[in-house]
Amino acid sequence: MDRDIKFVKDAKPVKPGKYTVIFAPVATGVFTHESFGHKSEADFMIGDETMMKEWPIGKKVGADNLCIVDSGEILGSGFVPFDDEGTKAHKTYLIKNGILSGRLHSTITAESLKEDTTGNARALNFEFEPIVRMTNTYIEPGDKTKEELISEVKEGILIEDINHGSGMSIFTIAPKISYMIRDGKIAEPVNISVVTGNVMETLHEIDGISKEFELLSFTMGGCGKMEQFPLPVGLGGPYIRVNNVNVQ
Amino acid sequence: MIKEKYTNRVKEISVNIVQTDIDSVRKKDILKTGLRVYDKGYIGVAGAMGKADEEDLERRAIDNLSLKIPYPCEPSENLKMHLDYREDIFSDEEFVREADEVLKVLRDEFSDFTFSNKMYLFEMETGLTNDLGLDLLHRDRLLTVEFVIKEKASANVFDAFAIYATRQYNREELLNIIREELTAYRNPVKLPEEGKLPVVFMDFDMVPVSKLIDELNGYKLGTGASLFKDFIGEKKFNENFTFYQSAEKEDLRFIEFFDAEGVVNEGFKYALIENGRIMSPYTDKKTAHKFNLPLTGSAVGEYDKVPSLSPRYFKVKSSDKTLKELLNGEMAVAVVIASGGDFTAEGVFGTPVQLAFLTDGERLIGRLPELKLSGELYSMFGEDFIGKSKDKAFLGQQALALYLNVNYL
Repeated sequence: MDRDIKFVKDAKPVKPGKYTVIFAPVATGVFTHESFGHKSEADFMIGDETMMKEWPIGKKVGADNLCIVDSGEILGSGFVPFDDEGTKAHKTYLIKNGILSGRLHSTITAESLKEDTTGNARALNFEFEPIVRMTNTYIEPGDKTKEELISEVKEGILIEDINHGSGMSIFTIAPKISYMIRDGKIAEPVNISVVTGNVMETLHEIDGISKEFELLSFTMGGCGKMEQFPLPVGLGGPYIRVNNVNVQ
Repeated sequence: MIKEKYTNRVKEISVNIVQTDIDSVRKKDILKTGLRVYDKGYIGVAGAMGKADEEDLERRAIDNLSLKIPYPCEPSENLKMHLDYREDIFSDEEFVREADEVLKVLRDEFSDFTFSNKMYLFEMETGLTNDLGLDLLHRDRLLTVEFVIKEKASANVFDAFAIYATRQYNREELLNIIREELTAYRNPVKLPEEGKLPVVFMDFDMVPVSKLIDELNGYKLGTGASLFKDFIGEKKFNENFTFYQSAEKEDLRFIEFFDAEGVVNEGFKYALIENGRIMSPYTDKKTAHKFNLPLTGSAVGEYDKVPSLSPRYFKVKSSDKTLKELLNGEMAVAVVIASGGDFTAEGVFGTPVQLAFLTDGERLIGRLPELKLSGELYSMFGEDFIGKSKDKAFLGQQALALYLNVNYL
């Protein structure tokens, strides 16, 4: 509360531009969920030759230290031990060491693409049919500390908390609490309307991933996909440092 | 003790579309009943799905008074109003056949795109009655099309969408909306220049007015947290700008003419900002009572929940000009998808635009590259406010036009 009050009192508008941005776990989680998670939902690929060519398993899509996972086995908002078709949950690597490694499936999409089921068929409630949805989606922790990530930035931004995010070809995050980083230290609070970036380029711009990791659960809100909103999901991750992010 | 019954019945048939073909058909017929009891300043609520045992519901609602949920307001009373907005559209079988026919046309005319998601034929009936003479009933039937559109050559999850909702279905009207959008999509164009330009949004797009909705929340204003807390009664916006809550027939999509507390606005409208002057925040009974604010009938609640404050449907009042007249010879950026943007706490606005077209006010001319928009709340609806068109000039919708800073992303 004190942090928020101080922020509201002291924050000034950010100077728009391209920055190195460090995302705190909640921001990392929304970025991962929106920018890459939905692209991994295999129902978007059925019958789509262009997407199948663009997203073959084995393609290099991100930095070498990048691993993105979806797992319904973890307690919290995204805990789905069995999906709504009765498939048991397990940990699915979507990206492993920067390489596209898997997709999220229902039985129909798995059969269609001749891949294994993953336990990701979920319905909002009895009024809807199961479709491919995420469970807990996150970037795995790395090898730097949060302080190391910050100390290596000459001028950048730290996003501590967010209002919301979205992802199509461009991802967006609307920050709630953010600070300038100057000469490796957290500096003044700044108001930012939105940060954006090209999803596929940004995955290659991640150059630092922290050891600190947090997976979050939410009592309100959730993921939206067409008419089925809000579906409880878990998201989070480590602190990640991303270069060349548009800030306005 | 006062008893109040809320019923909601939804009948729906929807066609699920994958790769421009019917994949499956879903039918629903769901009845929900809620019973509320008001006693000594508290409310108890119980609900059931399907055929409800009302005696059991009443017993459970009375038991739930022990939760001591405060409700220091009087239930609505002495009002009988039954409105039936249903019109003949299709039978269920005709609807599925029509969906098939529409998709055949789209496969033929737009073979470079795929269409997915749903078409719905939706019917609802909602009633609210109580011991004090309240007897409200709303009936409606709508055909809704929500297409997610993808260019086959694109690696995106989707590239465009088309929305059409009507009580009087016309196939050519639906197809012409899609034809206009995708014909323009196939024609890449550039901005006339970067900088301050007219930007138009579709009527149902809440992105540009989202900050108004946040700051006009009665609870936020009453607690002193709203930007508008000191400005009730003051003219802060353009004198041509009026922003109001509407439950008029043309604006009702899946909501009732009355709110969850049985409040019906006079003329089905309540002005929150009138001719630039901030008149009132939106409130439910609790909020109005607690902060001594006007009651605007903005309570929302599921059948088994206590009604609470939430935005219903708000709109900008139309001008008496067409979009072409409003633009007065200028070309404008017509925004179809602006996802993820927001306002800061002080009202600075920024958003990327994933899909926009250039328009002359009468038709979409071509598809623009991805853009970013920025502005500021008081300017957007002050000196930069152009107006809302009287005609449905933007893909079957009226258009809200204002000046914003436009740059390539």
